[in-house]
Amino acid sequence: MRISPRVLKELRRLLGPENILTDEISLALNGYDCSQSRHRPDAVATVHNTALLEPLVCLLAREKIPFVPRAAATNHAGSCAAVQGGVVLNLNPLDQIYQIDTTCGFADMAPCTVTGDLQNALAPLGFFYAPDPASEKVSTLSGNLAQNASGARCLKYGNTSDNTISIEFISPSGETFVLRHDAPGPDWLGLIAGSEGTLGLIKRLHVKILPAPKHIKTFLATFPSLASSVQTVSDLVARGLIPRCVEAMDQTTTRAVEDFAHAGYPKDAQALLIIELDGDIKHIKQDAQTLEELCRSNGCDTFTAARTEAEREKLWRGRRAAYSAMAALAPNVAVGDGTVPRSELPRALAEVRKVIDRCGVTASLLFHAGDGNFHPQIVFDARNSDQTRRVSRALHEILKTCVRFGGTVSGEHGIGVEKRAVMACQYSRETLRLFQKIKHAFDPDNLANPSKIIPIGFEEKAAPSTENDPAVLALATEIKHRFAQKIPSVITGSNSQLKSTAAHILSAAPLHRILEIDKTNYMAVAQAGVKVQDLLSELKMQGADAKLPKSYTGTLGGLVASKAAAEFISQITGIQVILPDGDIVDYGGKLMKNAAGYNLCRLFCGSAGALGMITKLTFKIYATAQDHAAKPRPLLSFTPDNLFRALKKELDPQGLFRSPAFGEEK
Amino acid sequence: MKKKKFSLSSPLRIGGPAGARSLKESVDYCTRCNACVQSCPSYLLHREEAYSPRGRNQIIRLLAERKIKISDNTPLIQDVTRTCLLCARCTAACAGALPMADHVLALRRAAGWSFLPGPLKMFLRLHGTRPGTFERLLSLLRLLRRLGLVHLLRISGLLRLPALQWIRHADNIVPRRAHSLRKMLKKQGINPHPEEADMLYLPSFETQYLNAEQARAVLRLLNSKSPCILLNMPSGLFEYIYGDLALSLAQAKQLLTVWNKLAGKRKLPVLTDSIEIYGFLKHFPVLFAAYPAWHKRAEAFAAKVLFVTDLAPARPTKTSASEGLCALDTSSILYPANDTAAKARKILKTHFGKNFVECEYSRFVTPAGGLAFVRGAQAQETALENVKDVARRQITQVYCLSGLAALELNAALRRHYPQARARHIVQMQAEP
Repeated sequence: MRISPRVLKELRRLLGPENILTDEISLALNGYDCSQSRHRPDAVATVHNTALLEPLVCLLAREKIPFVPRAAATNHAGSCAAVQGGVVLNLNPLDQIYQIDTTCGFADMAPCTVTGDLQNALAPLGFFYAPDPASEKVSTLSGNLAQNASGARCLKYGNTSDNTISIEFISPSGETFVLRHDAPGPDWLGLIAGSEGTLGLIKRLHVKILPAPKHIKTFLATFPSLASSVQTVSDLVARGLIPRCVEAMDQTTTRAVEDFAHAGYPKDAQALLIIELDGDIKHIKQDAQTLEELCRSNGCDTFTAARTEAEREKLWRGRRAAYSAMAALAPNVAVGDGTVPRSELPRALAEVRKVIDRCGVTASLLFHAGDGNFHPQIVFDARNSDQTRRVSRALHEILKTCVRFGGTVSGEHGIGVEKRAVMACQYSRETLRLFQKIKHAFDPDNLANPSKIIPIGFEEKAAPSTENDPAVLALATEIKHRFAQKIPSVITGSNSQLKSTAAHILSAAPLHRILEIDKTNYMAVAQAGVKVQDLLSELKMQGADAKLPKSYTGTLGGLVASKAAAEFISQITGIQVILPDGDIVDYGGKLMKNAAGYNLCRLFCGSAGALGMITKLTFKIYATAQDHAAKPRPLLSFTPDNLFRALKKELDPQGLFRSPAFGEEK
Repeated sequence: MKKKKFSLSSPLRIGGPAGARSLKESVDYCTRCNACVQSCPSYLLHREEAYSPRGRNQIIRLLAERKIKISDNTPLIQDVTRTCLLCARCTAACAGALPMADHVLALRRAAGWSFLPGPLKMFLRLHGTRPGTFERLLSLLRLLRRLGLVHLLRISGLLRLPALQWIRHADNIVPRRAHSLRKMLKKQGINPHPEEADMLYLPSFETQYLNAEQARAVLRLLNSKSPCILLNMPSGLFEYIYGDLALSLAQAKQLLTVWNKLAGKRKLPVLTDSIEIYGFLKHFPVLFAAYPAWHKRAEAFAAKVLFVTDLAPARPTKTSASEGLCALDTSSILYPANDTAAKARKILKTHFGKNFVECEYSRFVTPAGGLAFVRGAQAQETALENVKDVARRQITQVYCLSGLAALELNAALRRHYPQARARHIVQMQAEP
């Protein structure tokens, strides 16, 4: 599309003539990122002041011009390619750190503060920001949040979304919202994280900062097989020992890296783990002993501890040089990203190697062993069309392999345009339809970063939901019937929070099964109607625990839907929901990282049954006893805002799912 | 005069550790990962993709693929190539260590832009082509300066004119006292061409003509070592950056021939105190990659090139707290000086102990290689950022790998933060 001279004039008046670029070089240079996607915008607008963002978005919304927010453009998914043209918003000048408060533990920043700059500012104060994507020296905080890119430390410290306290968010219509995880109502902030700018712009961020650990100890362990290395990580988690990070590589990668960086890695090792522990010296010593025992019991070939800072640096040198080692081999490097349940990692990686060999491409394979997240780095020459085709095929097949093993097509790189097509392999038709509805609710005119995430023509390609639990199917049938007959429903668990007296209560009581307690991945799957007390006793019997409040008398679904335990929300990795029209939607699974699509777990947390009925939840469990002292929060009443109203209108146009929490029971 | 046709194809090879490549191929190796962007001082001032190393690479790629024309976009392309400081910080940050300064230089050469004021370029070129005339002219200019001509121009406001701003800048950074290495050697009775020598010495421009203190330090350092032969000839670097590539190659070939003749079978090492020349000489194998007859000789030569930090081992001496804090400025040109910087850091750490502050100017560089003449406001801004950095950390001494960077930084410090001073690293090494 072309932008009319009148609009360009208005844009120039708003931002200054020097900040609106329409020359062919600037357009070409703002149409790419680290992926192979290139799409030229029609104009580039550089924003120097956050106060100008709202009028700018309002102007673009009024003129129905698509816009693509662009920060450092380091993503590997084509997330900031202007597929439908429009205006690219260059937000890079917005990089001020407004405030660092070490007493309350937060930093307040403009959206495009470089993550590395924040770390540099925090280091002299003895603090650090937990997420550490590999590109942290150049990537920006809003970019990290938009992709939910979290890096290696997320096993211990949580992902970027968990480390963000609040954001100022500008919707595609130009309205500003302050979003927090703990505010009543749906966790909008959790939904925006990983949305790749398709739901709006981030104007300002408050992030959590933590006191820097006094001691860090790094270990190198080599194993005779991938399976034994992954088993070691599972055993570590089982013992309640959560390392700062666990980085791993297979033999092919170790050899390539060692030849390039000479980091002292043994080339004959089938798998290699770099494990880092942090905390006080006493605990590190204890943990190091446990770590060594576990490594030895899993048959590790070598176990080395870095004694000095120089040795530690040397151990990391190889891991950090992995990209450089590949970049020196050919002009282009395609970095893939997939996540599978940790226990599936050895089988999935063996399969990925087969795909790489079958497609005849050269690739290294790095993985964050703790999260089940792996990154194949395939080298090729984009000038050679045959090679490029083979690489695309390999990446596509690798992602399909992930899905086959119960994984996701993106752990932290996002979907963008590059992985849009494989989304249809991962999600059912109903789930993708829900993604589309969310996008439509936030952005009815499809202006904010259009044509991303949701695959084109998914209705034909995606498979329908395959739920076969009779209780869930019965509930779905009942909801469908009520939808057809326009009968309203009030969704409850044990009705302990809502205390509803309405006539049409739809209870989750029939969903009372604990489906699985998986002590390999340390995940549990339970239906929403399970009582929290029952769940805790079952976990105790099995020698596990979860971050659930002991004094909560209601059901698991009720706990989540009423946002009664804020800490538990971040533990949920998978969710199943029946929508007001009776569609069954599945999202996530036993995955530590998932950046594919909108985070539905966060959307339905705090929705109090107004958007859908939660039927099943997958969440993290622990081998050690957890603190249950926190009291559950009473259900807070929520005055629906414009975001909620728009979404409710999309999901439940007839207003059939009524929630007393939103004052709509009657 | 017939205008030269713009073409990016050249037999000249450029390359980093991965080997010599053509310009097009080297640019194709940019994976657009953006690791370079935060290291680029020019990008940090402009905040636009075109002014980033990644953007510059893509512009060259588009030009080479004939997707854009230089004639349609001259002002922007000229500006993005002019604002590149050739500081090589992007190369240090790049996963593939792409020589992006070489990419920009290739574009400048192809477009025929040197960005050096005409009279200054003609004058500096004489240093390589007619050294005698150059010295005589230099003496004349110094005399005029002593007579107060520059002062007169300054107070008349003429030096504010863009075409004459370089005179003001040169007057700011060049020490008042006249200096010539040749005369200094004569005065001290040192034979620049001894019969028996263990080393060849290629002096920097600052040591030869600008900075007497640096020259004295070099001589002290050399006196403590074995006798060496002074090579009073150009390396080809000036022409490589600002002038004629053919002339640059001819000068480099001449240097190789002289080295071969003087060093003979013993393959004597060649020492220099200019980090810019050092980087350029080390890069000779890539420069001659397309010329097989010279390539082998260039490789042998490059292996024997030394920087002053290679000479003196770090000597532990006691430092009192009153000496104040010290930092290292690693600004260089064309190629990153990582190994040299590590050696310099070790020397300073040994001497200053805890008084040595690990302070990489992470965001801004001290202009090195005389680039300050071409950048106007940007030069002032970067210099001021460096001064702020020094003042914020209460550093009193900054040691630079580049003599010109030391002069630049010293001028800025003298003006804004006189408590600190900048010197070349050799001045620390040769301290009595």
